[in-house]
Amino acid sequence: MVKNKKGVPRLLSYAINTLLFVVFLVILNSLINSGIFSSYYVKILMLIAINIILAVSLNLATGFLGQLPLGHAGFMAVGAYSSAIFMKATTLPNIAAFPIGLILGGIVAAIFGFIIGIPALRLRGDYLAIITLGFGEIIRVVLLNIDSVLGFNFTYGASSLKNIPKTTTVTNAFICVFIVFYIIHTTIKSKHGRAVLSIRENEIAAESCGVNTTYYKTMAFVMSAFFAGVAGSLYAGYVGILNPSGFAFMKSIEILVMVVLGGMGSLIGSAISATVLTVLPELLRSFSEYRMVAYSLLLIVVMIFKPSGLMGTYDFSLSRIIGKSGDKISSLLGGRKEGER
Amino acid sequence: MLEVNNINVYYGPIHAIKDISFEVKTGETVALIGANGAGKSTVLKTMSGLLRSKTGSIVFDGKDIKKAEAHKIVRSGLAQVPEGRRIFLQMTVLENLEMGAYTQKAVSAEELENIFTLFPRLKERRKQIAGTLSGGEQQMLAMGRALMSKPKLLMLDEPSMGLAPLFVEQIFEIIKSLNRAGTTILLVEQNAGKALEIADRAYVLETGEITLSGTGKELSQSDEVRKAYLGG
Repeated sequence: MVKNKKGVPRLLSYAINTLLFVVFLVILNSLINSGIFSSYYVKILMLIAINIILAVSLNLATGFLGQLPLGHAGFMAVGAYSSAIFMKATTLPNIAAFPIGLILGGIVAAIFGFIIGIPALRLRGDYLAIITLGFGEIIRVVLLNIDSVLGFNFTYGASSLKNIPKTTTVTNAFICVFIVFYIIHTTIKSKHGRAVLSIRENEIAAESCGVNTTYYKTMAFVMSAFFAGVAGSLYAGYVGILNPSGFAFMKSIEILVMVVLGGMGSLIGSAISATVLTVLPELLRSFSEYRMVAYSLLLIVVMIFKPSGLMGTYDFSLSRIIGKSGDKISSLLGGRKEGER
Repeated sequence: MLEVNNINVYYGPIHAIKDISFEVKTGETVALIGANGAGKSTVLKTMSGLLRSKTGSIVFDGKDIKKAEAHKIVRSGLAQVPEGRRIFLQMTVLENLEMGAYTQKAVSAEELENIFTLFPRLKERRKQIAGTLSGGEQQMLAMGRALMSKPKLLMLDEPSMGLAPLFVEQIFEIIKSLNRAGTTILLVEQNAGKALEIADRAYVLETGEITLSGTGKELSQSDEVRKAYLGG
């Protein structure tokens, strides 16, 4: 439905993006290998990658679909635990087990997303928020207590799931970020994405245009849960030890704050705010007790002066920038094409 | 084209539509008039699959659509312009129209041109965000969007609601010309005078029941209608 708006061919723009990403990875890796980035920085980088995936995936449900789920940490927890349990049990070499674990985490989270999405998406606004909030808490409590119900050690409850292979690296985490961006971006720009956006704009109108609203709402919600599960898997491979208390309500709120701060409906906004909100508390470590104050102040200031978030619904696009300068050149040459939008 | 037999619609315990039957023949403009709360919009919502009738049948183009899902009904050629316009406020005018062609394989340039001829204002503003349009322009956009799905039957829910008299005039002119161009129209209106003027046939709806029916002319001259809806 939506053709590439400006002159840059789609294949080329993907090639450029991939190339830029590879360059970024090479630079990052050389910085790490040369020792300029200490292991402390490496840890923060991994956390940034995980948080970006969480924020971007939640943005799919919040910014693009227009719902307000408050149980994102629940999906993350489901993904983290399923992947961690798999990674501990498997005898496969890490290189093979890692992607399987990631996808497994995603799929299990997606299944949960589907189960919770079917009833929850019939409701809207506050009601959906409450249902998903409840779901998030149920997950946490189940993870905490399921061992005594089952009678054997499965999640190790409050004593934590330990010795998970630490397979997450900066490289594979950022590759995941790239893939998630790619998938969400292409989905949003497709006919399906337009259908999802139309639901956000006006559900009845979407329905009267022939959009199967139930299907698309569920699709976006399940996708969002899937990527949260992937982020959870990465998280499990990053910390190496999982405790249900890490996936409490506040974690969901933290992710939501990233989305709102970055701008609902802006992928790049989510990435920027996830980065800022991961780095900021670390930078403020020397101020210890004041750092939560600074963090909260930042949120208040942004919401007062830029309530649509840092980036609004704006999405950074190289081809738009190239296209704009291309337009300028062609208009200078007197060759402005009519009919292009 | 559309045949509705004995439908009953409930909102919970409230019996909103009581055993209504009516029909719309190919090429006609049919108006459904009545006061607030008579059930006009409820009837349309039932046609488009947003509400369900407990009994009877709704046959459109030879198929019973009573149990079909809303998005499938649109595909079969029955488009609705919802009440209160309900356009996609954050999208541009063009994007709104493209959404209208959602059920089509591709956006037809020809159809788009047709709509721009019908609504020149939309062409001028095609890159504008729809939320910044005036009420009348939004109504035009909602109609244009519904037309993008190339409907056989277009259902309009209160197209004159909240519009300036000049715009009301314009909208009704457009409905007339649409009908002349071959689209069958089912019009739900409170503005009975205007609706009866352009309708081939009309039904009067009162508290969920059809109390009168006839040609537009007959009804506009009938004493009951004059008293109740046309101000004496």
